Amino acid sequence: MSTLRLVHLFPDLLNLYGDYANLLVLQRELTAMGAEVEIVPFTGEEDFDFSETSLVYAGPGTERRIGYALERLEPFREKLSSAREEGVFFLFCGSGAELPAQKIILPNGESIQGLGLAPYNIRRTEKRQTGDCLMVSGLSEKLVVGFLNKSGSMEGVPQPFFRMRLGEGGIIDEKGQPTKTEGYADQSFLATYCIGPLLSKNPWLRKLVASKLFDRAFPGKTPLVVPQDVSETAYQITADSLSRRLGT
Amino acid sequence: MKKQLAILACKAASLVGRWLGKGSSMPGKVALKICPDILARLSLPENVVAVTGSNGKTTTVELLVAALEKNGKTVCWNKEGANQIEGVATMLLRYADLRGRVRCDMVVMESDEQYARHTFAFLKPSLFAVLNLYRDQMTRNGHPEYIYDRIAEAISPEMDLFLNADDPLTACLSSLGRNTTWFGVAEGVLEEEKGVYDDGKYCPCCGGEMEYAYRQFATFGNFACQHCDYERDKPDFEAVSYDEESGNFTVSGRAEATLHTGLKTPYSLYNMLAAFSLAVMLGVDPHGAAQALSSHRLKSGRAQRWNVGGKDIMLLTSKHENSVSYDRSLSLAAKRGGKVLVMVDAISRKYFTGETSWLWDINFNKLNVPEVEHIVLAGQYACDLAERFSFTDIPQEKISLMRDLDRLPELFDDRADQPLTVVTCFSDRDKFIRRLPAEAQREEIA
Ligand SMILES: [Zn+2]
Repeated sequence: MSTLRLVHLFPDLLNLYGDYANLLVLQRELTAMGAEVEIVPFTGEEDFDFSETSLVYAGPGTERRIGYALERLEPFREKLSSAREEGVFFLFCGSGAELPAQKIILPNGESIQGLGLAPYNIRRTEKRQTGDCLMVSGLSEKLVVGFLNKSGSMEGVPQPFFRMRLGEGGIIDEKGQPTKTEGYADQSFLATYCIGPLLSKNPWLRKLVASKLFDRAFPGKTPLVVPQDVSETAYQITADSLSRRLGT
Repeated sequence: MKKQLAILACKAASLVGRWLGKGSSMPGKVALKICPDILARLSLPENVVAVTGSNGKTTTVELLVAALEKNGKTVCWNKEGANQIEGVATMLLRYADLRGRVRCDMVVMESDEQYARHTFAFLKPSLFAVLNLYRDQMTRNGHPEYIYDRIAEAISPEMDLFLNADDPLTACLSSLGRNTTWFGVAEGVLEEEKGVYDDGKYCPCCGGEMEYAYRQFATFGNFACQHCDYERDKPDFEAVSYDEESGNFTVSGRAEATLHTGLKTPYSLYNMLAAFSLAVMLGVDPHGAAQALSSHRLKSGRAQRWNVGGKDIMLLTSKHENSVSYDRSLSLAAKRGGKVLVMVDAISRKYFTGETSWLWDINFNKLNVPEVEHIVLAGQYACDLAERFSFTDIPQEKISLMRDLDRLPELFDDRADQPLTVVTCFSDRDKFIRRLPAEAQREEIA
């Protein structure tokens, strides 16, 4: 692989909270590390090849638009599954995290099938949940800052990725109660209900995803050292302010 | 008996309230306590108009009431905004006689998009105007389709609708009411404004690809779905030409008139067109409506201007988390050139908040013109702004950071011939205004 290919699923349909920025900051990071990177939009092209890909990404859309995206992704179910098995990295943000679920259970009890790339189900509600998040993961002592704005929750997540310090989180238990956990991840997969440019807001998480992509594409190659940028200060300001709220 | 008592109590409470200078919905609360079904016992005028939308409802109501009152109509309306039953009761009982007749020609109320369905349970409008639906403070309001669903719940089949023909999502509501009267803007009247995202790309009815013969801004334009048969309806009231220089625009269709707007923005055009159309529908003569609207000075100015030792300073207040309004301010700032100050210090009252995703919905590239010499990013979120700006084409040497707002006075000491345009939101603008030097002269905006 000479060029890292970042595939953006339906960039015009799933674009509710400026989430396209996640790909821009990843591209910049990887370029600074010494890789050649291209962002490729996917809008349902029949012969699209997901295996020649480093990352498959989807951001949030409205509830209807998540439905349209799932309809359009139906013919690509197999291709996506095998890409997942081959180790292609998947990143889903905001309600985009509903796409890889087993199924989405609607408020009226009906359910629609998800892509089945992740073990959890989604339960939609009429009510929206919004709020600041401050989270920790098992990967770093660094805090993750985020924001939720959603009307669905994950259930049946075997290993939540984040534990909440502040905010409810997006995972509920069998009784529908919030569990103060959020997101699902394994080696090459990350899905979280957090909206917006998460990888811009959390530079360390961006660096983590970037190095995973780099290592898979260029085994044995050492990346260039990326200098700090203004996003580090922005992160610190938000993390500190949210942390102060914990004390009060 | 109970009814009379309630009306009297409400009037007495209004007097007391005015005397104490507080509580807009307290009198209604008192009346409802005495007579819980008081609203059902009132006899209302034939026309009850409710106005809602993501943007411009307060302005449109203010304009509409001005057009009606200046043309001799008595209007019962909610100056303070009344979405709860207590507020509506206060509003109506102020005009009620002891027999429960609301003595006015019509009722006009501004309705919150989320609350309309609750408000209409006790006061159903005969005419429901929906001005527009687009991304606006999504942390507070939810996304436009969510708002659509809440408004749809408020509409009943016997209700007449007044809808924006150019906005595909708003226009979808038409099937839910009785008759729809459309307002819209014709091709070529406004320059197309390109944003960062395009919510008009897909049909709100079927999700199919949408095509536009032309666009005004955001999702507004002459649309047609390529998949189902959904397309723009011909407006009953249409703005057909707009003169940038004079700020005059002409309306044709069900009424012909020329109107003048002091603020030369698509918003003021749509708001005035809506107010004009509604006034005509409510029986005002088009000429009289146009005159009243053209001479009306809006109370809440978004733009303010000062002169500091010859330096021209303009403050443009936009709503945060509303990229459409923000983009408009940036266009104006780019046109003025010189120095531009973008200030993001607080985001919302409810949350802290770390939610700066809306910055990525704003087309800051509009400032990438030679006339803009320097850009200062200020406030608590200056670094988030800087990160966002690093993904524009604006040369980085034109940009500087000012996290500490106490340094703002530095901006007034530099070149007097260089205009300064400040782009900020309602919650931050006073932080700028109070740091203006004492000699700053407030100037009128024509
Ligand atoms: Zn359609």
